[in-house]
Amino acid sequence: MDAVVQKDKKRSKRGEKLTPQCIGKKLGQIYAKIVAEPIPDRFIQLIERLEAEEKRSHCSELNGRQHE
Amino acid sequence: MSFCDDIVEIIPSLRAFAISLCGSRDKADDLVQETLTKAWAKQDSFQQDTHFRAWMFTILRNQYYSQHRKSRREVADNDGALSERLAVHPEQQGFVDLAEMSEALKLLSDEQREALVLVTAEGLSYEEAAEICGCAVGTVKSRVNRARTRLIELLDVSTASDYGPDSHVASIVANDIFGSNARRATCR
Repeated sequence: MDAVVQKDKKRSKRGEKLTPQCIGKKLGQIYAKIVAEPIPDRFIQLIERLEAEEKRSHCSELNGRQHE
Repeated sequence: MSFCDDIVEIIPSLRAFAISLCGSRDKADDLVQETLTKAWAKQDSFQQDTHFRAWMFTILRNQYYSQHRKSRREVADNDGALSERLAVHPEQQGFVDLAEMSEALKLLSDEQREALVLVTAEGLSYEEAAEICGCAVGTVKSRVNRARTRLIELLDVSTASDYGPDSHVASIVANDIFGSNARRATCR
């Protein structure tokens, strides 16, 4: 009897048997959904800004050397 | 591939990992922004023979803990709030939905959640996850295992539906144990 109860307890409240694999699959779905979202503009703009700043500082460094 | 390309490519995964840590999209995006800025500034210190993905995740994780260590979100379910939210009769749906999984995930400790997400969702090896988390491989395995067990407990039959398929009996039990929300759910 206990064994039956325990077996039933392994089922989710929705009737689905919950296993580590099942948990992993659901988690993977959530994660994949977020990963599939388009990259927000703020990050693209940030990378562009960082790249531009790097180029600027590189150029000013080169100019400084030429003046020397 | 340039550093810039590498960094753009990894942004979606960083966001997903950050959301799993922060539990909020706004905070997660701020965290990713700080991570990108830091990584860009430190790009000279990145060694080509190391894993770029692991390097970026480590920066994000360190950034998160340096900011949020004091206000860690270890939420206890003392008042049964989660149990109450999950108290839905099995007749209504046949699966654990993603929103519930997200909610349950928030109830894990930071260490368990990050280990589970890195290994199970991000697909990193235990060794890579250990490198990112700064702990032993065995510790990561143990955290992943405990996280899975805890999630199963949280999403398991600890609600009115434990008591069988009879909706009348379930509603009586729900009335006594879970209060009005569960009663509404089981009587539908």
